[in-house]
Amino acid sequence: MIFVDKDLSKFCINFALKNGASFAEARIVSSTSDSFMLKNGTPVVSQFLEDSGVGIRVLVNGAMSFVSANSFNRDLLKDKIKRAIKFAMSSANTKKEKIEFEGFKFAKTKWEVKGKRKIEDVSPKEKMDFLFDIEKNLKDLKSKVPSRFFQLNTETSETFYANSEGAEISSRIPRVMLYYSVVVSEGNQSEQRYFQFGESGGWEMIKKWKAEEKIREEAKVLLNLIRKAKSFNTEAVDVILSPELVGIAMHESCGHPYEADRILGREGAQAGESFIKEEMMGTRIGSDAVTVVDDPLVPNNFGYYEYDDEGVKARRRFLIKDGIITEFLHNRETAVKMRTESNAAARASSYNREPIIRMSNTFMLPGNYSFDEIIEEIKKGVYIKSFTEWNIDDKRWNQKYVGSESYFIENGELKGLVRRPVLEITTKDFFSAVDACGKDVGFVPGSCGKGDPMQGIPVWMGGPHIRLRNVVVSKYA
Amino acid sequence: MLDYIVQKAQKLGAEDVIATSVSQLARQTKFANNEIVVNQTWDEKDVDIFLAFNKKTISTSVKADAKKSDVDKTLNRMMKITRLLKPSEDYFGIAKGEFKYKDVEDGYDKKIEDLQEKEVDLVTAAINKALENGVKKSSGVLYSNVWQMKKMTSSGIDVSDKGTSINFSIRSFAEKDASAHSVSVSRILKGFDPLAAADEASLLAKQSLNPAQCEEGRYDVIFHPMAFSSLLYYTSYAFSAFQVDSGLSFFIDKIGKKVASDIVTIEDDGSMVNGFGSRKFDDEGMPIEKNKLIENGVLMNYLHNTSTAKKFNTESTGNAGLVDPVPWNIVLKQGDSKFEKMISSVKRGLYITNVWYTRFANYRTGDFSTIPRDAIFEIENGKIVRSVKDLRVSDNMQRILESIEMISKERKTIQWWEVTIPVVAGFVLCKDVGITRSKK
Repeated sequence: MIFVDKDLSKFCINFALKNGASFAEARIVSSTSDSFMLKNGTPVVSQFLEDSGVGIRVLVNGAMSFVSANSFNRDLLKDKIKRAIKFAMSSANTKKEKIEFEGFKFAKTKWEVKGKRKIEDVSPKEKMDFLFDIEKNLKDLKSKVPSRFFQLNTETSETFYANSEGAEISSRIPRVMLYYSVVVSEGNQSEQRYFQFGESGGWEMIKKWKAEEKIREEAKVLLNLIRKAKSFNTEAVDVILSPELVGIAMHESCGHPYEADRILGREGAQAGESFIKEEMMGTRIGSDAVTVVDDPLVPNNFGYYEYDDEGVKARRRFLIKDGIITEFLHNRETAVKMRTESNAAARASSYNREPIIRMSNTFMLPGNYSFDEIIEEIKKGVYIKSFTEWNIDDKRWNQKYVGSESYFIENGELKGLVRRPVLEITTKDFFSAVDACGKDVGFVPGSCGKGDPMQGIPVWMGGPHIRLRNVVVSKYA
Repeated sequence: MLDYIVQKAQKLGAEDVIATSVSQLARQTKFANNEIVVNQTWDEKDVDIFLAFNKKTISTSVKADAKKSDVDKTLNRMMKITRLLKPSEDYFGIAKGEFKYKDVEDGYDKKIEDLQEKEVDLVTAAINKALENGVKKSSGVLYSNVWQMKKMTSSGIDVSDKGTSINFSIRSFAEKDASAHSVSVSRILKGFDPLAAADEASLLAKQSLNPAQCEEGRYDVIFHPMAFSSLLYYTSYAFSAFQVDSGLSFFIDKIGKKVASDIVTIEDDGSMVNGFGSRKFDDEGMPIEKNKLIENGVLMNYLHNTSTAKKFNTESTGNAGLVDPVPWNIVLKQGDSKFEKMISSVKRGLYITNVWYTRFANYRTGDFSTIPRDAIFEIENGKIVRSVKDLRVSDNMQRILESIEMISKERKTIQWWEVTIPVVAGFVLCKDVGITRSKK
C-alpha cells in the first residue's frame, strides 16, 4: 500500500483557496487489487495493481471543476489546480444558477472495515485454488456445461478526504468479489447464469458463500430447465419473488429514481432522468407493505461506508415508508437545491472520478410472513427465484425481469419448472401489487454503473421474499 | 523506462514481455438543464506491463514517474506470483515479426490540444442552438482528449503512436417524454459539428411531442444510426474469439455460415481515416488493419490476438486485447437506400431513434431485449403518424441481423456513454421485430 500523504491534501486545498476557489476538497486514494480468472478450467492472465492518485474538486464563482492526477508532484498539481480553476471560471460566466454546498460541521475521524484474515495475506495460489475448487465441483457435469468462467477480484482501498471546511477523514476498506458465468447446453438448447458474490471484509467471507456448491446446484437447475421447464401462457397471476429478484427491483426501480441528481436532470444525457419529481415527496407509490431503505452501514455489505466522499456521516435512508415516498438520496449540492440536508450519498469509484450520488445497499424491509404463509394462499402463480435478462427504461418506470430458476405454483404448492417467465411491469404497478413480505432478508452484490465517465461502484441490494397479487406474467417470446 | 522493463523482466526469467507507456490528458465539460454542471480534467501517465513465463501470464501497471527501485520491486513481484500460478494452456505467445506501421490518417490535430476554455463556448453555442429550435432543455457532454502511447516488447517491437479526439453528445427535451439524442465524434476539429448534433437532437425532440401508448407485437422497425449502433456495439462482443472459445457468443461454429441478410457487410476497421477508435498497433504491437467480419450476410472471421489465433489455427487479426480481442471501429457497410424511401416502404412499423440497457438472457443464443429511449414514431402506410412511448425491443440478435431489409447510404460515427466502442452505421430497416411493453 502506498503511503497516503495527508499534508498533500492540505497543500492542494490551500493552493486552490489562494487561487480563487471558494471551496476545495482533496481525496487521496491508494489501492491494491488483484484479479484471477479461470476459463473452462484454464487460467487467464492474472492481474494485480497498486494504484494511487489525488482527485481535487473546487467551487469557483458558483461553478464546479474536478481535476485528478496519478502523480503527487506538487508543482504538477499546482498547475492542474490553476487550470481547473480557470476552466471553472470560464463556465461560471455562463451560469444562471450558481452551485452551492449545504453548510456542515465536519469531523476529523477515521473508519475501517476489518477482516479476520486480511485479503493481502492470501497467496495468489490460494486464490486460484478457490477458483479451481469451483471448477472441480462441476467435473461430472462438465460435458453439459461447455462454458465456465470464474473471476475473483480482491481490493483494499485507503482514502484520506479533506476539505476547506475542516473535514479530515481516513478510511480503509477491503472487498472480495466473485463473478461467474456458466452456460449449460443439451441438444440445440442452452441456458445461462451469470451472477456474483461480494462483500466488504476479510478473506473469511468467501467460506460462507459456499460458491462451489451454489454454482453446481445452479448448473443442475439450468439442465433441468432445458429438460423439463414448460412455458407459461400469458395471464395475470400471483407472483412470489425471491430476495435476488427483490434486490434488483429495489436497486433499479427504487434506488435509481430516488437519486436527487437524476431527479434534477444532471444525468439526463447519460443514465437518464427519473419518473420521480420533487413534488412527489409524501405521495403514495406502493402498498402499505412496502418499506425500502438504502443503508450503507449494514456490516460487511459490498457498498459499506461510514462517511461519504464529501465527508458527510452515513445513515440509513428511508426511501419508501409504508408505501409513501419519504426520502431521496442527496449530496451537498442537491440538498441545497431541494432545501434539505445531505444524507451522505456522494461516492466516487476512484481518485480520478468526481463524487456523485450513488446507492450503497438498497433493500426492502422484511415483514411477518414465513415462506409457507406467502405461498399457501396462492391458487395459481409463479415463484421466480433467480433471473437472467433484465432492464429498465431511463426514467425508471418500465422494467423487465426474466426468470431463470422459476416454478409454477398451484394451490399453495410449488410444481414444475417454468421456462423464462417474464415480468414486464411499471414501477407503480409493481409496488402497488405487493401484499406480503417475508421475515427473511437476503442480499446480492452488484457493480452499479452511473456517471460520465462511467463509475462502476460496489453495492448491495436485497429484501425478503415478497408476494405480488394479480400481475401479468408473460411467455418468453 | 520501457527498454529497462523489457530487459530486466527477461533477466528475471520472463519469456514474453510487453511494456506500454500511455499518457493522456482528457477534458470534459458536462451540462444539464442548459447549464454547465462541471468541468473535469484528467492527467494520467502509466506504464502497463505484461509478462509470461512457462505459459503463466500476469499484467500490472506502474506510474510513469516510478523509480527504478519501484519498477524492480514490481517485476520481482510479478515473477514471484507467476511461479505460484498454473500454466494457461490457451496462451501461445505474443506478436513476433518485422512489422510495417501506418500512421492513422487524420488521427491527430494540434488544434484540439489548444482548445482549452474555448470548449465552454462550443457547449454554450450548442445549447443555444437547441433552445432556438424550441426545446426546453438540453443535457450532454463535450470531451477532448490528447494521448500518446509507446510500446516495446521482448520480440523486438518498438513503436509509438499519438492521437487526439473530440466528441460531443447532446440530449434535448422538448417536453416530458419528448426527447432526442445526437452526437458528433471526430479525431480532428475539421468535420466536428456540435451544432449539427444540437440541431438534430432538438428538431427530433420537437417532433416527438405528446407520445401515445402503442400495442405490442411484431413491427417493421427503422433504427436510427444511434439505435442500430447500440445493437452492433452489443453484438461486437460476439465476434471476439475469446468469447467464442468461452462459449459466450451466438457466432460459435458459424464461420462460413449465413448469420445476417445478404445486404449486411460488417468490418472492424482500426485503420479508418479519422476513425474514433483507430490506432497504429494493437496491445501486442501488431499493426492494425481492416478485417471483414460479415460479408454479404456470411460470417467470415472472429477477432483474434496471437493466442486465440493459434488456438483457432489462424492468424491474429491485430485486435489484441491481451485477454480478450477487441474491435476498434465497427463499420456497417453503407446500403443504397434513403431514409425517406425506407419510411415509405413500411406499412405498419416503428422508427426508433435510440436505445439503451441491452441485456441478454443468453449470450450463446443471442436472446436479448433493449429499451428505446427518446423519440419513437409509429409508421402507417408509408407515413409517420404519431409519436409513441414505453416500448421494448425483445428479440434475438441474429434474427435481427437476418431481418435487415434496407440500409441507408447515409452513415454516421456513433460513440457516447452507452456505445463506448465507436460504430459507423446508417439507418437500418428490420422486418418483424418483437416489441413488448409493460402489462396491466
